[in-house]
Amino acid sequence: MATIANRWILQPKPNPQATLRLFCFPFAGRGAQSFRAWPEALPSAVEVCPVQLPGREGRMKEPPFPSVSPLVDALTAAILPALDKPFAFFGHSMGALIAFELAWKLAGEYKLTPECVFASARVAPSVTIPRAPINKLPQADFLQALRGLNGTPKEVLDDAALMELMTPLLRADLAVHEDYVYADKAPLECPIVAFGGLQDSEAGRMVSMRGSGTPRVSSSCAWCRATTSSS
Amino acid sequence: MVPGDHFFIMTAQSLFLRMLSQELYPLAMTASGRAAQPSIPA
Repeated sequence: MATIANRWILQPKPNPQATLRLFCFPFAGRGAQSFRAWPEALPSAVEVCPVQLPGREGRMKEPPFPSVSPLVDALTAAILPALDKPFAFFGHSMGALIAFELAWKLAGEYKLTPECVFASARVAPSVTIPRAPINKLPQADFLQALRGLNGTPKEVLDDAALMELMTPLLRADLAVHEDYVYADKAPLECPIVAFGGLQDSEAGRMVSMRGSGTPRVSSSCAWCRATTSSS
Repeated sequence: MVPGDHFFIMTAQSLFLRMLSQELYPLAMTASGRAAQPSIPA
């Protein structure tokens, strides 16, 4: 059976019968293991392909990318061989930004369009994150700010040796997420479905906001302007 | 974990994955009736 897996694209449960591949992009500091339960939980017609970025899990020895553009350039070359059937992207927070930028590059340069981009817990790329960046803070302040973000387990934050190992990755990932500068882009032609929690101050109080249609609950329609799709 | 916070979707996965499945199922069914996308440029 042909495999599409490489060091970027994982294929934990190969499914040649699948009609759709879902590529999943993790949030800052995390890796493909975040999606380990997904193949069993999603429809059998969907093949889950977690994306493993440098600097984590099995790629711990590789330096992480500190900005989105070179990351997407490298990722494009790795993912192209896996786009031989319909596909969709899911990304959480930093992962949503990577998914959007990759979709935009694939559409513009290769005429390849996802069936859908699922973006969770992130404001649209055209909107500045509604908090101050933390990725360049002095270490003590950085650790304190990480505690405030509530995304790193307390046991990890309290382990000095582990944090020394994790800090370069966290700073680089947060730089991808926080230092991103939006350049005006043509909207994607595929639907965008954005998810966010009501208590998520960073994502702008979105709840399952779909493409350019009517938001179910939203305080911002910036994601709507990133697509021409009305489905 | 705070319900509805920034990481809720990734921590309360079973609830979210049911919601995502509802979005993915029609996409996969539509895709099954179509040929694969054109070959990828070299």
